[in-house]
Amino acid sequence: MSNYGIVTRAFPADYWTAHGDEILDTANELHDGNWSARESRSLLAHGLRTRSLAATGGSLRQMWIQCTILVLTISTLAWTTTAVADQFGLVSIELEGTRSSTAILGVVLLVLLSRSSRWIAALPVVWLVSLVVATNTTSLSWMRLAGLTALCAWAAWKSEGRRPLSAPTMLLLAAVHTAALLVDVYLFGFLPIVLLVVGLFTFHLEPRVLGCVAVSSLLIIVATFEAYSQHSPGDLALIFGTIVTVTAVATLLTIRGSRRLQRVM
Amino acid sequence: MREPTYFILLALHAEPLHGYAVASRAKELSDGRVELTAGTLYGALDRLVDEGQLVVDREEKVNGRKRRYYRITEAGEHATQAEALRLRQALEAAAATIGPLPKAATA
Repeated sequence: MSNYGIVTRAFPADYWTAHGDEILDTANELHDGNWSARESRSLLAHGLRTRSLAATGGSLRQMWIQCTILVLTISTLAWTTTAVADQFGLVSIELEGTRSSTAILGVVLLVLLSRSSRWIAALPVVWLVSLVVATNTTSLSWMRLAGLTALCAWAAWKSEGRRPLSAPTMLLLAAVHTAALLVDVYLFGFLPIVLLVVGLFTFHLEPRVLGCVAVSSLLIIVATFEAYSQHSPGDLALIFGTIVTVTAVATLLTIRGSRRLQRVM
Repeated sequence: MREPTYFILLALHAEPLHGYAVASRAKELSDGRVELTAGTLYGALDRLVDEGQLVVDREEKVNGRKRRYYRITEAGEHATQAEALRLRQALEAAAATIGPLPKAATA
């Protein structure tokens, strides 16, 4: 058994199959067969870097561009999702003018960066569902933001010229969120953060699949934490079981559509 | 160029070496200052291969274990020479400014 069993999970499967034994042999030779914390850190960093490169096209520059876009996407979604949650009275966070403007700016920037289009293209699904549920909204700020996001996402989708990989996942998430909203149990808002955790623990760095929705709901999750604690253990178990099932199905649906994703898993 | 990268290229100047030998040689050349981990080493080797400064010369099996031997390319040689020149200029500038430098203490 390797001294570095856990950190080796950071490497893409095909890379590790080809070079894993050699790297481990070298690590053991360098440290006389003993485990080294420094080695663990460097293997983890190398593995994540290799995985990120594999998932983002192979060049370091491309990887950083994609990471920057991902941060922008997450920020935008965090702000906009807060707006939606606020509209439903789920949280008490007010959408300030500055936040709203920054979110709009973020959406426009995302569209200008062509590589982001596949990620942002998933947004219309979420917005469409939200709009259907919230047709009686009086918040112009929210409507403006939603409309602009949908428009930009549509444009990005058209410019990309192909269906985004995340579409099945997003459709499923949207359905779950809608169902949760309709029965007034927005505890399913926890779903995104579970997706993120699952993503992190499987070193699944494909941002289109998990990251966008996951981090975006962080604000909601924090704000609804108190409500969550009021439920019985049985309810929590049921909710957790549902979340795990939905997460697994969503991930499988997305992976099935991507050969590249299957390689880096 | 970062110091580990420089010593990796320098280590491969004379002959193709496998990963562990590169790390050992780099440590020796740097008087023990550059102690590469496998993660750092293979990260740098992969990157240098991508940049065309190294190529995989051959693969061998030693005691059933696969080992890749890396060879420096012409581009790698140029990069090493350019870095050595930069270091020499920095050394000369230091000597001209603060006078003769004391000999570095050996490990």
